[in-house]
Amino acid sequence: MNRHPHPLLHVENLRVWFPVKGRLALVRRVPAAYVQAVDGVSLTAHSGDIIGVVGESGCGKSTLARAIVRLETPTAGSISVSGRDIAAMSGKELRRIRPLIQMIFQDPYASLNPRMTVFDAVAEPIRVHRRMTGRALSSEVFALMDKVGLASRFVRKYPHEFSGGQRQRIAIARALALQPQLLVADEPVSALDVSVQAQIINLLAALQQEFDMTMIFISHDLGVVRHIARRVFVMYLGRIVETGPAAEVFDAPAHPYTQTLLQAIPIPDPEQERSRVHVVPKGEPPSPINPPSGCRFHPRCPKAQPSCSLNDPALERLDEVREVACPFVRRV
Amino acid sequence: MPLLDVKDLRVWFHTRDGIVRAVDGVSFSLERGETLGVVGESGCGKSVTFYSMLGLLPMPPAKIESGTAMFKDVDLLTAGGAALRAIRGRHISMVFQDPMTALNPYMRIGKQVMEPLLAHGLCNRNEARRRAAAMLEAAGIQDAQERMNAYPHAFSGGMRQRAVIAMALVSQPDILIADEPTTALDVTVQAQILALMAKLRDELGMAMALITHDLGVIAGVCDRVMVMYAGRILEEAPTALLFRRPRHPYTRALLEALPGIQEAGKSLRAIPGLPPEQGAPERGCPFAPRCDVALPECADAVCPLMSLDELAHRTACIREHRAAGVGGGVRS
Repeated sequence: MNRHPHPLLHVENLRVWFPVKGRLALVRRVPAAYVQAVDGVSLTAHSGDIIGVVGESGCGKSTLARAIVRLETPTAGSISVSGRDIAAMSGKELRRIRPLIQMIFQDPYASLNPRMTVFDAVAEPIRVHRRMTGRALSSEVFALMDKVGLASRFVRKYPHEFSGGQRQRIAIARALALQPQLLVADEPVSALDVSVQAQIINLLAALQQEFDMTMIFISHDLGVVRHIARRVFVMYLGRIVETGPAAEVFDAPAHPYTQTLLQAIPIPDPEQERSRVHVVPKGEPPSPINPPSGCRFHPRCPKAQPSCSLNDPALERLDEVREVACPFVRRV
Repeated sequence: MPLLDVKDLRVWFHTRDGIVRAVDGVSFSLERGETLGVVGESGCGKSVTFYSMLGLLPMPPAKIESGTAMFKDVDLLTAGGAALRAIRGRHISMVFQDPMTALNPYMRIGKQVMEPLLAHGLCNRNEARRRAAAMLEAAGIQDAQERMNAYPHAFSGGMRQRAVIAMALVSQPDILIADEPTTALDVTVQAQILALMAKLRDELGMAMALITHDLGVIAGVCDRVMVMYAGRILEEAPTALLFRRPRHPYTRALLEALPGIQEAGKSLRAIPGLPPEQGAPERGCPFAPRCDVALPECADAVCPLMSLDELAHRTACIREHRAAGVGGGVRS
């Protein structure tokens, strides 16, 4: 891997808080509370990396994704893309950088304009940012459709004429149209059936290689992430609790939350599934409005110590390649 | 005699765009105390099969074209409104996917859980209150007495599903039909709900039909599995057998398309094409157009679900029939 002086993406201490309007919203100047969706997340991705972000609903993984493509404005922290901080950018400056960072959303029924044909949907970003028209534009659109496996005869059709998997292909073509360096995919296969899901995963993996893109792949499905990502970040209530190479994190999870999460996933093999030890997880993820004190996982943690409710553990090195935010994990 | 015996069930939807054969010639049975998994992708007819028996489908457009569904000497398909009302929620209960829409937002939790008992005249109000509290407690809701006065919005997703389960089981039904009961929940909560359902099933000695798209859920909980595709049952077998030695190309493809937590890297086997939207085809195997080992005759052969060498293992693949020396791939 050729290392540039700057990593392609470097997120430092990112915080995205959303104000909650209380009953006295009109009277009070300051909001009553904040949803601490993302709270102090740092993450680095080098050119060509595939990074997986996993966690349950409400852990902040989608907010993190949206902040990286600047659909949300960070409350604090920095997001550097090729060494330029986009966290505080706005207006023209931000528009110029947007082509580099593209996103694929979970629901291809909601992410495509129902009044635009496939051609228009894929052509739009090329028209706007690359200023192409006429024959050059259409040949570019057809080339993209071919790349994502959509037959060119579909070009005049509207999104409602397609299935979920095909719509996701349209969304991918649209995202690739600007030759981004960074592709953020937020649950790109969660709305799809298993048989179609595999097609889209294979497609994304192939395109990532072909275009040498960096990809942030966000999913609650650990199987999918294990399959595609080389490095994973496990999130819980706005924080990263563990990170490392996918194989190591999944085979030997260190943080009690990662362990709980992995144990909770049923294995599609009756013999393995029935012979392994089942520890039923405790409780449900608490609200990010009022997160627990200390370690945010401590009320549900099977290994919690009294000090866990007091001390907020930082992400610390476990070994050469892994970091864990739990002081009770044995370190090398 | 099986508790529920379904023979040649056909449910077609007569829409403006033509006939959709949502369920097309489905036969299966459910034994007392048994857990049957029903797996398939969206639109395969797994929910329609069970909804039709309980009179939960809008008719028209749905129409039951043929079949019987015998439950204790009553044919559910011809029983009619009053007879079905006496069975629903008393002998056969359902748990739905989305616990928010399954609960009435304007009614206190307690009242909703008491409702089946009172509607069926099983006991008086005081007794119903006592039993509802006990059931909620058994479903893992602490301080059930107090929580009965709460409205659904005050409950988390997992708690709501516990309340829905309590509501379904309070009348101690013979059969529980659970339609994607954990799909809307986080994995850690899913593990709790599955463990709860298995525990209550054993305590109450009821039979369960678990409808899901998740093969992992099937592997852990079900005794027997039937695989549905385009309105037909393509394969049915005891769980261990089905996973160890799938005897239909669709089941094999489905298992191989699943990204596993254990292994990563290699490209997933994607199933080409899309599931048919019009339900079962008029002739031939519904999976033939996507099948990589289809024979020319698969397109129009009659493919009945037939027992193989192991009698409990049934498949609708004519290749497997021939290999096992049953049937002859009869042409229609």
